[in-house]
Order: sequence, then C-alpha cells, then structure tokens
Amino acid sequence: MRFNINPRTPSAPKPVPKNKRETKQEKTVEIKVPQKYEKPVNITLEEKVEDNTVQGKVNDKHQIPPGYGPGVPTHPIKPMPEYPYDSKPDQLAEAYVLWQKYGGKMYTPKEALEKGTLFPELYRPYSPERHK
Amino acid sequence: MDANGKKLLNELMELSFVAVELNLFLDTHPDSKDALEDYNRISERYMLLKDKYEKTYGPLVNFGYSSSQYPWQWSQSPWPWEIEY
Repeated sequence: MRFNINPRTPSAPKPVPKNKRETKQEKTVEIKVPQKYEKPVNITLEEKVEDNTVQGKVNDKHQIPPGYGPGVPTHPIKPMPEYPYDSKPDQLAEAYVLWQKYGGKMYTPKEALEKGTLFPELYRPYSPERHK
Repeated sequence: MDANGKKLLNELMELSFVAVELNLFLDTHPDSKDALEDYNRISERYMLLKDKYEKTYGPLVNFGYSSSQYPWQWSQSPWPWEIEY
C-alpha cells in the first residue's frame, strides 16, 4: 500500500488565496431539540473564514467548527452546556480556596510520611465512622 | 539486610516524601525562598544518605542512575517487598 504523504491530494479543493477569502459568513442553522424542550430554535452562527489558521498552520482540509479557531485553544475544551431549563438559576456555585502559606508548623519527616502530608493544615485523617 | 540498612532506607523514604511535598508547594509558590531553602537542604541530605546507602547495600535505582560494585548488585539485593521493616 502506498501512502500519499502530501496533504494536498489532487481531490482536495484548492485553498482560496488569502485576499480572496470571505471575511464573514452568516449562516442560520436549525437545531432540532427534543420535543420536551419546546420548539426548534434558530441560532445564528458566525463563521469566520477570514483567517483559517489554527496556531499558525493553514488548515485546508478540515473545516474549523464554530467555537474553534484563531485565539481559541485547539485542545478539546468542551464548554459547559447552556442551562437546559426555561429559567436560569440565580446563583451558581463558587469555589474559594485559601492560599497556602509557608513558615508555620511542619511535621517531622517521619510524621509526614505516616500522615501523608508535610503540612498540619492539610492533614485530613480518614475516619470510617464519619463516612458511614 | 541489617538494621542499619533498614534505618537508612526509612530515612531515605521520609526525606523523599518531604521532597515531594516541598516540590508540590514550590510548583504553586515558586517565589517562596524559605520553601526553596528547605527543598535544597532536604535534597542535599537525601543525596548524601543515598550515596551512603548505595555504597554498602547496592544501587537504589538502575538504568544508569547509580553505579554498582562487583558482583552486579541490582538483582542480588532484596526487592522492596522482601524487606521487613
């Protein structure tokens, strides 16, 4: 079997020269929603065809899906889905973690190895009774 | 392995755990001079004890990270699960 290592195979469409690319393309897509979620919604997607690069590489073969493109990380970060119900919640959860400081009491190396942490403020012994 | 070897091994495990903890702390607090000082001090002591241990009891790590005396010690010294502390 022979492999064509040239990404631009004869059948692949020729890349559009940069100056001839459209800058913006508006497209209305109908998204089918399961019946329990009301009627279908129309969402307008803005597809930027102007700069078809992802991290400096010209991408001729693959269409960049909406939500991806220049300035957007290409590793698969999936955005949280929209809140699926009619009304949005007033508040979402917030995380708050205190910044750890150095210079307080520390366990001896022997104690640290036994307890699984060097820092007394991070010591959370497991007690089976509490988790019943 | 004699009692002295076990004692050394125990202290090595303790020191390497402290090194892990300080390593993790420094990953998020790279400007902490005190933590860095402790890290370097612990590392130095670790290397010292490691050399001391390996001279008598054979290499702790293989594939070129420690040398061995004659005869080849790696497969002759006890495996970690064979040591009763």
